[in-house]
Amino acid sequence: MALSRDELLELFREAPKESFELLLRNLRIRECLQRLHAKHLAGMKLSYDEDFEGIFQEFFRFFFRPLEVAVRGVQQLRFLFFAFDLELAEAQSETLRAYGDFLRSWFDHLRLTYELMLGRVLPSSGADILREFIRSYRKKIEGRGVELGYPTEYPFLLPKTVLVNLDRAVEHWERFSEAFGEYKRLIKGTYVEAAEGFMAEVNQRRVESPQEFFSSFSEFEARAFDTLLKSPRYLEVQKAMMENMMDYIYFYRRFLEEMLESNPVSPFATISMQDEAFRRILDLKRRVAELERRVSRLEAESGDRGKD
Amino acid sequence: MEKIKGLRPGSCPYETVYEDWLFKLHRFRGEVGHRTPVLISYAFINRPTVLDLHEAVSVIRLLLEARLDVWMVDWGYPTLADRHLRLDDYVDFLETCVETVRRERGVESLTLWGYCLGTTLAVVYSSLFPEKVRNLVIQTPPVNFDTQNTLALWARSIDPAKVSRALFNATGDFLNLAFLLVDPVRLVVGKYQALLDSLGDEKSVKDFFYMDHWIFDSPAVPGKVFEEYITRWYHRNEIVRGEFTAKGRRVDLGNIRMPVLVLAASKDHITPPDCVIPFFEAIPSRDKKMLLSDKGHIGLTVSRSSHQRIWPEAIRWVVERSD
Repeated sequence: MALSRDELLELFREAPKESFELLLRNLRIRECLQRLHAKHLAGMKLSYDEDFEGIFQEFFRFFFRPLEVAVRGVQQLRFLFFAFDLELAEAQSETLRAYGDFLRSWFDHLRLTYELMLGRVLPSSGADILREFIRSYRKKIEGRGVELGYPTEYPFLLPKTVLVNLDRAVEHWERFSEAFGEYKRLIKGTYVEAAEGFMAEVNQRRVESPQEFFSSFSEFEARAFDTLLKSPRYLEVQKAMMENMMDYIYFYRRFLEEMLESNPVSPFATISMQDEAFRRILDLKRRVAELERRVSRLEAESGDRGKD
Repeated sequence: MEKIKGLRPGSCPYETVYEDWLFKLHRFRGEVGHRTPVLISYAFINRPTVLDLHEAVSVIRLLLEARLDVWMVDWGYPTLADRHLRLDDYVDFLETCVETVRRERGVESLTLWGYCLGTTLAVVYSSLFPEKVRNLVIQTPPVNFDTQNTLALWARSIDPAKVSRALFNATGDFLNLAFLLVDPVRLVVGKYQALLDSLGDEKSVKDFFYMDHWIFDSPAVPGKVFEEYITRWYHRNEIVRGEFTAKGRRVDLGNIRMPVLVLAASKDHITPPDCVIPFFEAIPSRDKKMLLSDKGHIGLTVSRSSHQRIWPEAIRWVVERSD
């Protein structure tokens, strides 16, 4: 079943993003199932092939993706430390070049507008002055890299907790990656085992109806996952994976935040600072509510005494 | 595409009567023919529109058609600013809502209707303020958390403080993933394959998207509330053990003497009947009844068979105790 480009766009607009994604994945799963059923009807013995693997990939991508994003999060650490001189400098020079181009275009725009509106010609030296400013600013920045040297002394500039947090982030990331690997093995193993059970059954009897073929496959898989998801091994691996992922996120964020918090030129309040502010505001709100309740009670009591 | 254009859950009009930052109290518009108002405490983990998914399966509509005076607590969409809310704050707001309804309607007590985790709050409230609760209705209720369903096993095996520390709130995406992963084959493949089989059936397609809009409209749970409910309810099962305190007072199930209606579902994989049976047996109420649907957690509310079999009886039970 194919959806036209317009239909896909319309579906994306109208459906929740999760439904949209799952529907597209299920369209591909159905294609795999249809091919498997066609092979079955042609009298071929089913074996674990690219169609079963295709179903697995479509099925579990939805669950694996956020975990893989977390695993890949460590790339940012690499960028910060190991490729600092090259990639960061490249990124900065690109930005500077773009900014210079922008200023030049803006100046040209102003000059032409000025000429058109007032019939005057702006001295060409104006453009030269701007170019000179950009040139001198760029020269200044370029020189600094040499004067300050390699950022090897950074660790001594930062509070110790920054590096402790980084160390713990890396430690939890390693444990998380290990647990995630084991998690994927458990899921894949269960899927393949259930698929083999399904193949053993349909290889012995002919299933004409595609619906029966699909639902038999789903039932084999569903029963296998019902057992897996309650098993002590699964619970242990899921716990290790989740807790290490959460710790990795926390320590990595604290590492970045403490770098900012310890930098006197940083103009940013970190999310932890905001969180603490919200905690205090909520505490105050509760105290105000309690005082209001007491005042109401006192008012009610004094009203009652007045009646007496 | 035309079938699902602009389709969103929620069909009954309401107005917002009270608002306190995140939380709101709504009143549904309708002709009132019974003295006792109904206040619905919905689960803070989802949106209340499942009770009013669309006209054909709207529980709210049934209540309004029975001329009941229907109010609803809306727990909103928590953000970073709400991370430090506690279960006590939820009970507090429930108290504010009850007081508002009592004052507006000039009544001493009302029917408190809990849905899923809103039930747990309703039970806590009814134990603390039994004199303000004339009837207690609890739907798919988690009160006993010592059960063997997958979700409960998972909840007991995690450290929620780590989630709250890392993400601040248990985000909607995080919770969605967990709820789908509990039964991945049926919820991620089976359900969508069934949709592909019924694309020609307009009603089925619409029902599907009404439901998916509701399922994926997931508010976050404030971090500290997540910590509390996983630790105190799932890990320690404090309510059934008589150890739970709220607003500085111990929650005593012995106070649940008002009429109680329990609506449970035998195929519920989120809050199976075991989540309520110990509670149902323990409470001293002499007027208590349990209606058991053969559906699942959501099917109890939205299936057409429940609307034929369970809901007329449930509404009658409430109406008979509302004058």
